[in-house]
Amino acid sequence: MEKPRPFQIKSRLHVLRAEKDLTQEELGREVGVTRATIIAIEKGNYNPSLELAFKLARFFDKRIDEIFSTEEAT
Amino acid sequence: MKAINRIVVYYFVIALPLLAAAWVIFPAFTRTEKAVGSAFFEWGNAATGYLFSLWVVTALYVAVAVIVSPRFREHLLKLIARIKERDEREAMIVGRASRNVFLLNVALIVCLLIFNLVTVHVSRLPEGQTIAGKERNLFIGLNLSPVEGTACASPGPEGSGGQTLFDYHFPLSVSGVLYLMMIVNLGAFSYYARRLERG
Repeated sequence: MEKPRPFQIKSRLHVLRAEKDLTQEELGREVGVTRATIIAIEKGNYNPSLELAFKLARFFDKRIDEIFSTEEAT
Repeated sequence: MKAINRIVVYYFVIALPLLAAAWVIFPAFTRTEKAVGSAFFEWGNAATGYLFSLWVVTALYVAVAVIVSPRFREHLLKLIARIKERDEREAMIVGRASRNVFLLNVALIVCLLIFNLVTVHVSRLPEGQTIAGKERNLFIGLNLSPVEGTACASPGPEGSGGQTLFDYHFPLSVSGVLYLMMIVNLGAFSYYARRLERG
């Protein structure tokens, strides 16, 4: 059975963060993660958990799908 | 206390591979003609001994501290993997690195066990004792002795008077195996964690 292609999650986190004039560290502190995790999410190297996605959505007052979008990785 | 823990952890981890290298280099050289009268190699040999004694003390401290102190475990993790399990991503990295190290350990232990069980001996038979025209004798032994001193005597070529061409017995002592596994565990965990951390 062929291994399913991983989902690539793209985020608009860097845009939303810039709109609120926040550093990565400040955003991380707000949602309870490290700066390295915020960097990894923005670069697409890490897919956040559901809990973290909800925290980010609540913080930016957006829906999850307004922050994150998916595409099948090529 | 925090500074002491940091120093102990640094010395324990960094000294491991350096002492192994020094332990091989200096005693090996002091046995050669180059080292006769060489103060440098004699000094190196002595210094390695003192540094190793200090490492044994730190290793004992680390072993106890890892069990009793959660904060010490964080120090050790931070030095080896540069992460602290502060959030979900770091916890995931530690989990994946641990999984990879576990699998590597299983492979390593199986390999070490097989190399330990097997003995190989190739000898040339004495003059006039050839068998069906064959001059050489190949002996492959499998010997599993869980308790020291209970190994069966190998029905091998000893005493046959032949010339040994090749002889293999597992070369590492128990200390050597444990030292090797410690270095592999720490090194592999550090490698996998840092690779996952970089993405």
